[in-house]
Amino acid sequence: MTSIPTNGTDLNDTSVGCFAQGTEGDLTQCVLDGLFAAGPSPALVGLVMGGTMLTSLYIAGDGSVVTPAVVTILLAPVLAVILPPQFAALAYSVAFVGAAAGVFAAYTRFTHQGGF
Amino acid sequence: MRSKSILGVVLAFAVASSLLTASGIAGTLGATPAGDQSARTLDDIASDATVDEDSETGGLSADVAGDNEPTLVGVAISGGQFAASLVASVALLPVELMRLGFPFWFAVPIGGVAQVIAFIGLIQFVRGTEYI
Repeated sequence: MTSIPTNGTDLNDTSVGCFAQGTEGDLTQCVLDGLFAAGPSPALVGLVMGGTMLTSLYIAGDGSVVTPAVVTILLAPVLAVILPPQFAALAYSVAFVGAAAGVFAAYTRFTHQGGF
Repeated sequence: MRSKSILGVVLAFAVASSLLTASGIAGTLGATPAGDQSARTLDDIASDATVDEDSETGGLSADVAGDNEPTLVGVAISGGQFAASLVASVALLPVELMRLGFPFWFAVPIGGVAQVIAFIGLIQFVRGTEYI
């Protein structure tokens, strides 16, 4: 048996070789590796992601920061399980943004409404 | 006193950092929470906030000159010092943001604006007036 000729280049030597390795091909790993190798650090991606979620849900929730805080905090453990271990800083950043928003919501309720 | 929201953001970051670090989630997720300035500053400020006449670290005492009787002016001055130390923690916001992963060209300008607003809030607190 001869392998399929691809202009003399083996598939494993190309940029898509990552997707063909192993029996299943670790799709998530390949995509994330390429993404973070080309772009910013996982922590910054997590911050932008968490910030975008907070902002959009803040607008959708008629100016309340409580709902986005809860959603962001709940999303962080899910991300921590889904993501490969080396990108767990992304989940930590999302959790941090969510926790900060939650604390700020309590602070705002106390100082602006006079109670919790 | 809209400026208190800015102070609230900084304090919220510090409290969240303390919570996540103490709970162990940060270590589980592989983050390196060591050397967190804002959480430590919050701890120091909280330690200074005791109502103790013998405190020499800017605690909330009403004793101005040491041998005087506690006065209302003393409370105002002492409270002003405490508020100043609280506002000074806003200066740590850029450090906090950069530690979280933001690039410096984002963290420093945002932190600078927060410092200006927090300083106006300090003036409002000391003078008892309201500008913004």
